[in-house]
Amino acid sequence: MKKKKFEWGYLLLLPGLGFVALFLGAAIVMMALQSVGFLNFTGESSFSMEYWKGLFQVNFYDNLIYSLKIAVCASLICIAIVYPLSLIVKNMPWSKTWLSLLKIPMFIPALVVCLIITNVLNYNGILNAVLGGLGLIQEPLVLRNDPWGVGALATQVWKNVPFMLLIVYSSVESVRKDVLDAGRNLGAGRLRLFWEITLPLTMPSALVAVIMTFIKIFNDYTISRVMGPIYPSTLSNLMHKQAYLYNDWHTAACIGCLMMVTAVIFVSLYTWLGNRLAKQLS
Amino acid sequence: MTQGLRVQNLTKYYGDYKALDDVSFAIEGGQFVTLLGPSGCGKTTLLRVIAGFLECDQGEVYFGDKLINDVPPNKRDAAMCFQSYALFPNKNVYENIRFGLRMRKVPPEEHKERVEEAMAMVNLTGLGERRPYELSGGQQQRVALARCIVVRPQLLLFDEPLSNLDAKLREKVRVEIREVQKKLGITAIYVTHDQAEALAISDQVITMSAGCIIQNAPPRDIYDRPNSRFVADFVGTANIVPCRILERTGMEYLVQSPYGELRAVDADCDLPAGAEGYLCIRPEDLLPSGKGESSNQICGAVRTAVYMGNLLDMFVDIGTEQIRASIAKDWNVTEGEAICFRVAPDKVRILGG
Amino acid sequence: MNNRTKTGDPRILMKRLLRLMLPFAFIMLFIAWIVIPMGYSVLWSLVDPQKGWNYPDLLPKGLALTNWEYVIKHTKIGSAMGNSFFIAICTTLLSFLFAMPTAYALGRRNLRGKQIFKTAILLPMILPGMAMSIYVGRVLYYMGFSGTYTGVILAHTLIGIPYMLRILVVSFESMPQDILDAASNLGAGPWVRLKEVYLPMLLPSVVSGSIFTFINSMEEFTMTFIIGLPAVKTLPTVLFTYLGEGFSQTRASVVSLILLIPNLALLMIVERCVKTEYMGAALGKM
Repeated sequence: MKKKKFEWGYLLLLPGLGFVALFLGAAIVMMALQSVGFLNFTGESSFSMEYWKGLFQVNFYDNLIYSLKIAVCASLICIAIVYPLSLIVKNMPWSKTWLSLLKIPMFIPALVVCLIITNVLNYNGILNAVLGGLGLIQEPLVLRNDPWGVGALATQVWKNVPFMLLIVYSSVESVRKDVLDAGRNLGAGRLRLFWEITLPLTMPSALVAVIMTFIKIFNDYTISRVMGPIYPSTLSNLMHKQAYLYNDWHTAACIGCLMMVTAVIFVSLYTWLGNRLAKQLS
Repeated sequence: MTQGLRVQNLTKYYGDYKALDDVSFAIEGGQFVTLLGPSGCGKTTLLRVIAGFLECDQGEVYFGDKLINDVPPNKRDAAMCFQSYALFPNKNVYENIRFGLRMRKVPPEEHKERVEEAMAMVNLTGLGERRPYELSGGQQQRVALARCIVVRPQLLLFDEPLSNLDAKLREKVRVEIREVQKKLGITAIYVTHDQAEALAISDQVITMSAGCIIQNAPPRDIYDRPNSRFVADFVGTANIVPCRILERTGMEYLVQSPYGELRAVDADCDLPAGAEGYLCIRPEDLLPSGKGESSNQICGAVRTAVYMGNLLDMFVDIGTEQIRASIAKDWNVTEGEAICFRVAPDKVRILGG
Repeated sequence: MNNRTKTGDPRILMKRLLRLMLPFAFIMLFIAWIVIPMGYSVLWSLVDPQKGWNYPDLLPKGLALTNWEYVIKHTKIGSAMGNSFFIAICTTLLSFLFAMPTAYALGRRNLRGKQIFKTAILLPMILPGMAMSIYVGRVLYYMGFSGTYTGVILAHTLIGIPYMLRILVVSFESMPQDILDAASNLGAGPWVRLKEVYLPMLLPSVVSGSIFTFINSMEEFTMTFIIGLPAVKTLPTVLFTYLGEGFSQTRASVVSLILLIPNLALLMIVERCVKTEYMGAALGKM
């Protein structure tokens, strides 16, 4: 019988995984402890659920609803743009080139995207100039830092379409041509073909894209801070304000925990879907 | 002439699955040996154990007289041609072929000459600057072969090297492989599931099934004197039906089968009179003859006849059984027609269960 | 039927016309969606402050380099840019060093619980940036790295490792075992395999992984905002000021362009250097 050899592979995991585990682990433990009253920076530390109870009295709900609203709307608008766009690009000449051009916004920093959308939506922006020039509006529209959040929504859509396009396009493209030809051969029109073959086959990856986008937007700080309304804002903004403006670190920790848990739930959902997708393809 | 290879009692498990079951054989130096079997029979596992990529659970591998069980793959003098060719995509043809020379610390001034010699041997002259992805499948395969022979190994290993080529090219390259191997006199082991390839290329064919060696014999014997139903069925086509031995005198038999009473001459069979066995007749050994014109006849009605170009392939109903016959292409038969074949007794093979 | 095709059925003609129009419509849409909004940043950066640009003018009244001059001469944009590059380069190197062994283990070793590790390593990509920043910031504060380059680099590395790892793991996984076996079969030991087989074949992924990590660090805002400020300023934090409290569309445009140009240049390199057909062809799949 041979001796079981020591698996050196686990040691090799350490640099990357260890680094992430160390910092993230410490940060999460700290946050969890602080959310139940420990690690008080100013006074006595002791266990208390006060902060969790108190959380639901702050303007938490307004911010939660705002976060959800922007995330849901932006994800849905993105997916509604991305499907027709994928089909058009697929049938365009030089589709590879178009795809890399359409990918550009993905690599533009969020803050620069804010500026770009500001160019369009600002008081003296393109949209107001065009609408005013056509005589459709008397007064310029307020679309940046507006109470509903149009500015933030537009910025999120612009920034996130490419990411979704990448996932959905590769999935739309991987639908085998012979399957589509068979469908046409049996008498299905283009629309039916999309509805009955392309859409169901690409649904899992579209869902993955939507989940990823949703969670990114839900957790966003920067774009809502710059483009969104002053109040309400996203949970990240609320957390930042609680910690740095009101010095209420415990409540901030509670909000952080909530966001983390949501993110983890969504990641699990994403992994589960990904596995199902892999099974479907094999 | 290079050294031979000896494999003794090799056993290999994958978890609970026995991939190799007590495999032993020996190969003389300079021989070309094929491991033949259906997929999953353990032939590739055996090859990878010989190359050193897999460790066996029991048994020994000897190159010549040297036990090499514990020699790592990069220290074994056995060059392998992979099914996927496994060319280094980042190196050109010349560098691919030279790789083995550098690893073996061959003096650099010899490299150019040896690489060019190897390239000439496989008809690649002038392609040294190309990258693998600029070559056709057949050329890639030749680079892989040149990369092996340039180091003048003791042993050449081939893992289904031709399976990615089309049929015409496959025949051409397999002749080339055989020529190169003969010229260099290197012992070669060749894994394939293609029985025609195995028969065409080898000195010796080792037929495997479920991790065991079934028959180890020269190609002619594998085809003409299969030792089991498995080999008879797997190599070429054969009509195999159950039979009972009625009489036996020496190596002459009289058997009762669904094809009628037939006489057989079989030196390898050791079944006594009264025993049950299987009768095996190759389709091309059936010769059309008029009813009653000769002894040892099989008669029936033509069910289907397919013109194959080089021969006429037909299925003939004999009672509830069928027999397949391949006869000269000039014959004309119509479906339903009565037909008789004669078969020489030494072409009738009797196999045990 | 014959008659129809000769004279031209109006419906078929319409369809053909639409086919021809589609690319043009698409290009127009592309211009309206991406080119014009980005182009306006260039215009804004060049607006002549003397003449201004007010509603409802579609174009500025005059152009001048005044804003560029102002930002370059009178703000500390140069040092912010230097910081950004320095931090991004350090982050890329650190991420590569940390990710490489882990990527090898995850990509080529059969480890128990590999899937869990793979998911865990992706966590920094998906967890809320603000919550992470604040508490990783606290951890760094206790380590004495608050408001230092080291702190910012470590925080950026935490975000960078997953990007680097993901690309490298896929690359390690997709490397055909046959080629490695062929190398050892021809006599290559572990060192030669690393030098002559692994590294050349990994090179495209190493380059694109590094570029992604670099870009990611260049544009990382939240971590720098929480951990670096006010001592360590980078381009995004400067831009944030111009978009927020000190709103100035002209200066923000200048800073944006400074931030954008290296990013887009690097992206072009990535597009060029990742050749996918290269691996498949070497394995006899034509």
